[in-house]
Amino acid sequence: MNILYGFLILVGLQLFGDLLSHTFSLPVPGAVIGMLIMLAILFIRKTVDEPIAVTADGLIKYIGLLFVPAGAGISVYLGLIADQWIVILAASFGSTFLTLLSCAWLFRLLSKNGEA
Amino acid sequence: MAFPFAVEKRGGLNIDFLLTHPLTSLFVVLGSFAAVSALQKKVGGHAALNPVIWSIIICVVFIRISGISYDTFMNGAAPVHFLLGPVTVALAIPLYRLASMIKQDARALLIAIGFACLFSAFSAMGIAAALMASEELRLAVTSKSVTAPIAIEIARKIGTPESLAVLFVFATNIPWLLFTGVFFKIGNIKGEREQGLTLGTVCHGLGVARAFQISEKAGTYSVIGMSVMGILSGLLLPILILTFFK
Repeated sequence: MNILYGFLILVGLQLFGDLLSHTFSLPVPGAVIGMLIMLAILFIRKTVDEPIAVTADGLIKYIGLLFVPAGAGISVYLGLIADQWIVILAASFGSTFLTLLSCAWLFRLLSKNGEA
Repeated sequence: MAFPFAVEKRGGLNIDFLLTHPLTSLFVVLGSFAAVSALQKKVGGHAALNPVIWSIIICVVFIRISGISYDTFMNGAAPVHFLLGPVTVALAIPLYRLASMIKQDARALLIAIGFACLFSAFSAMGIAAALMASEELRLAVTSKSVTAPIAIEIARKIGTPESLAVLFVFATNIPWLLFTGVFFKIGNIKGEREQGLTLGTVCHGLGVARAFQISEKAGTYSVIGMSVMGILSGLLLPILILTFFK
């Protein structure tokens, strides 16, 4: 029953998030709203209930599997990729390089308690 | 109610029946992932055998060879795809568990990740624009450093294809994981906290796996990086993109 309860809560929170997002035309995805509500509940209750913990850990363990169907959608874009692979690689690679550097340096600058 | 399949040709092996059957697509998704995972385990967890990447490749090959449409494929794969929302909600749990461990750094982490969220998205967009990429690509590249389930949610909001979001997530991950050692040397990034944070923030899922190989502490910081990056991007990117670039 644990997984049933846990799943019910996860689906319920996403549904609620989607409802808020749709009702108020928010630009924030419903699932992200659901995640923030979940986080708020956890911080208020200061504990992770067993059903939630079991279900969340089980789902997250297979998180990679869950984006295979969406990823397979590149079958529609093979022409675009063949055409634009330089842009795709350059934008991903260049921006990642710059962000990695600046994020690490900024954190080092701001973080007070020396290096652990 | 109409009978869904050709009636005149009863019995016998009907290959079209098999290929367009929703469970065939679901079987390919689950089967390819299970097979590559087992293979990866057998050879000692080699990173080149990433089950997600190979499953996607196998599915693409299946779609092309069988000649079924992506919609037909998705019809069968929907139960798996559908779980992306609940798993996004579930990401709150590891974040909550680790939050108490990073209290002394909370402010620095928030600012560094917030900066990374904006800088990563718009430097990628800038590079794409400089290379004359189409509008679709310029927008789709912005969520490249966001964990895949949230990147897909962002893609839905800003109206770019979900599959391009996944493509960019991996285009970001793969090259960098090969060069992280060299990169940390060039950038003089030595601390395990900094290494973990940047890996999780910028290279999300695969970065987290790499950070846990460095140390438990680096792993903790990488999970915080990935989760907070996901939340901030989910909150900020759609509104900024819809307001200024659409």
